[in-house]
Amino acid sequence: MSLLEITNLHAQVEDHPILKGLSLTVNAGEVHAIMGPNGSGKSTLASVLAGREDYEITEGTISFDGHDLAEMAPEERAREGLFLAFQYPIELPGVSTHQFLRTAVNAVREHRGEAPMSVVDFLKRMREKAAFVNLDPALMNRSVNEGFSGGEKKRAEIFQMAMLDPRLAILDETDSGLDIDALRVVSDGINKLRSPERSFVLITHYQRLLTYVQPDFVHVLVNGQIVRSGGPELALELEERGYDWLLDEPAVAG
Amino acid sequence: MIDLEKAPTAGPAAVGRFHQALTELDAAFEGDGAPDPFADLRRTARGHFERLGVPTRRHEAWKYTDLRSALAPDYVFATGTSDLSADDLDAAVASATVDGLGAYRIVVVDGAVQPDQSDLAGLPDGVDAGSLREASLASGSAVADYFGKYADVEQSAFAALNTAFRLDGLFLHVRKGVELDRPVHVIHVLTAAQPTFVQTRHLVVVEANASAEIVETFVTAGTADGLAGSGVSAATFRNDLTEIVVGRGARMEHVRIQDEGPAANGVSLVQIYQEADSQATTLTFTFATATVRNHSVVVPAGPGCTSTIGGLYVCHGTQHVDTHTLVDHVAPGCVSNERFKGIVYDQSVGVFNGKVFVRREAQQTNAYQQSQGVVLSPDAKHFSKPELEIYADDVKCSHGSTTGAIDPEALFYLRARGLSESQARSLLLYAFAHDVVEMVASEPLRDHLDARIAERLT
Repeated sequence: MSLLEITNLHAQVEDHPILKGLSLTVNAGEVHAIMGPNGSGKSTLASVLAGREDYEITEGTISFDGHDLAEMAPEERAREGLFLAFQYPIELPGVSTHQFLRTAVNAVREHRGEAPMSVVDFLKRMREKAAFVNLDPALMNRSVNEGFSGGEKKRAEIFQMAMLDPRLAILDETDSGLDIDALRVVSDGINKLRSPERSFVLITHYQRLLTYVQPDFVHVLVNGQIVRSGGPELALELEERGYDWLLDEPAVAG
Repeated sequence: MIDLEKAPTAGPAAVGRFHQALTELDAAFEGDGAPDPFADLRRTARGHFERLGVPTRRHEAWKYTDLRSALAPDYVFATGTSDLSADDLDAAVASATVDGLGAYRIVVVDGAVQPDQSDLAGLPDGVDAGSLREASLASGSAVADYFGKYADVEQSAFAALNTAFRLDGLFLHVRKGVELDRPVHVIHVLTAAQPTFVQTRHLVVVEANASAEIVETFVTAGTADGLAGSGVSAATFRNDLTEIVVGRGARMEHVRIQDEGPAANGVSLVQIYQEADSQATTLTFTFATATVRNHSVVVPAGPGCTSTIGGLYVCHGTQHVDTHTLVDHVAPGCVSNERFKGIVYDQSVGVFNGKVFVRREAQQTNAYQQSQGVVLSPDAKHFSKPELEIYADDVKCSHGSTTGAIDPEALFYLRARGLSESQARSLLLYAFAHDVVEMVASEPLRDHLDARIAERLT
């Protein structure tokens, strides 16, 4: 059984259809890149998968490890091992990163039938994972993302991902707004988290992230449908030719 | 007793309705056996009260707060005696105690200071702390120099009423240059047995270059008569007045925790007068209450003062919490900082009205005011009204006032990381509320407040 199975997905926001029959299969350990021009529905896909409320599924199914994802609240998805790295991580003044992550990590553990993590183990894990993405451990005592630079916010998302140990990570334009050094740090973090048990869906507009994080599959999303799928070489082709030549392609089966 | 069901129209018409209560009070006074050092003041105040009457919503300052139902019960006026059991009193005092605060303690039951329950051992030289009533009767007391000189009994009916009644409460006098080493914790215990009308009066004098920290906690003891074990309290109404004088270069922090339960109504006035270069802080945390109106008035009367006013109210059920503040900048070069936060659930109502006057002489004033309300139910309401009147031209004044719901994006972010909706909401509200807790100097008190806030957030 595949980890994620999206079949003929149609979704809309405020009666405005955006995804129009998207199909995609992700198996354990695979890294899929979803590329496409602005407005093609990339971020909508991420939002639908994470369970954002304003997004309505009108047709099709999403199965996550055999569960009907549409029936699950956002927190249930997270506890089952789905992680969304936000394109625009929100600032939460007054909410300490430490306190928030302890609540989150223990919510996931409780769901798995595990005991809450001891404070000592938790702190140790935080230091370890922060080092993963060169994040200053002092930031843990600060408010979530407050006053962080764009790069720090993206690194903090990867750090949170490492803390929560998901089975499927969806990265929504995590490379946007990063300079080359930050991109390298973020990519390193992702690569370190790659494992046979963990899958990734990298949503990106540009090819450059994919030179650091080598995907197994590349899909092109145009007008709410996947119009072409291939290996890493497809990303290079897109880099060279842009998206125009694919705009009139018919959908392919996932 | 006061028959307010039909009564509270403004003005002289209300006088007759209160006459009986006041006459009974006079009788209670005469039974004291002690001379009343403030007989003239009382008489004048009574006259003002009879002229003013109980305010109604027709008064602009009472637009959002209707006291009729809060005043409707057949209240008995507290006379300074209480038949509260020792166990109930101990339990109430224990519930109000702040772990680690290490404070001097004064226990006040239904408005009367209880020396037996209080703990003032080790009070440093130069500090008097105890019953205002006792102090006012003692010869050579400083009470007469300060008492009744700050609150406006001509304009405020409740200040007049408080002044007209039997006086007791905290008297704290810290002489020049003395730093009070520990906070004074005043624990107010209300008897829940029968509907009671309680008036408390505090006078705090912190002389030049002295410092003092005062914490007040308001709790209820026992249960209503005939309802033993039910945990239900009879309705109560408090009318409290606190006058605080902060001398030149002195520091004073005043923190109140109102947590008497859903049958406790009340109005309060905290009146602070600051001399030059002094620092004064007054913070009010309102948890379980019924209808409450808190008025804080701060007058930084000399240059170089810093004034901090803040509060947090977390309201459930049909709770109604009305906060009025006035900072009257009459002197140049002062800083005032005001921060209020309200969280309203169910059908509860929060009201904030913050006035800042900057008079012509008060150049180089730096005044900041912030009021934020979070409304968590379609039936809850929050009204926020900043009023800045500025007559000086070289000043920095700003205010921010917002009322809204929890940011859905923030909620989604937390849920997407595995927090339940209620965990996420609590975390965000806690962060919102903690801003005001941060204004409290004492760490044990901050911890105490945080714990209580966590209980109030659902």
